[in-house]
Amino acid sequence: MLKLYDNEKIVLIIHKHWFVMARTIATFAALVFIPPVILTFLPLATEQFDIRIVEPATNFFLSLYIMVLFIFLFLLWMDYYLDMWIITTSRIIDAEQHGLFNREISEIPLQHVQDVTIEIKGFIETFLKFGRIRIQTAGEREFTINFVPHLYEAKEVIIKYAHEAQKTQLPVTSN
Amino acid sequence: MFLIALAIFIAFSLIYLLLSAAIFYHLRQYTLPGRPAPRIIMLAFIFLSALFWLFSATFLLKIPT
Repeated sequence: MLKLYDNEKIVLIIHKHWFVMARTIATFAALVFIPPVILTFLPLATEQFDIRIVEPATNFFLSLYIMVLFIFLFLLWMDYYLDMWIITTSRIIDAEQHGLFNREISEIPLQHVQDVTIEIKGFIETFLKFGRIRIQTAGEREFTINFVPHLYEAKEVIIKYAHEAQKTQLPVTSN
Repeated sequence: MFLIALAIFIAFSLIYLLLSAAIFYHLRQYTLPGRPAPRIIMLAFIFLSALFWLFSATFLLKIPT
């Protein structure tokens, strides 16, 4: 998937902070509690139906419902996990997954990085230590990385290798 | 009722299988080497899916024809 150039090494790989996925899991955990609520009131709604059909049919559809939750949770986890930012010795690669069969990859050569700004806003971001990195390039293009854990370390790595790339000013060539 | 549930079960299983295969493909294709997390999550997903698929098949067979 990732082809490195000659003498290029991966320095840091950034995935989104675990809090992003925790929110999703909390939502799905709440959805799991819907079936017990339905089961509580179902006998009142199905009094006139044969219990020999209602009981297995209810359990059957509940099993399918749980499987639907699994597949959506798995899909959302895949989307979360495959979003990544790869910092190498010569570029920053932004790989973003948008659902199935939709992947966006963009790159910034480190020698074009001019400004790196970090933002930590809000109670949760402050205590869980994640936030946003904004990277300004020479072409006035802004590159934003959201939900970044270990912000200060990530910023230091980007600045360090950006300075080194600018010192050497090596042309970026592909294989 | 049984026939309707059977038709739903077959259609659901096919769609579930296709979606799962698509997700596995993406994880295999785009995960960087040396990362164990996707493999562990995939195995957990397969186990739980198989378990609930068996549950649903069992309850389906209990619906009177």
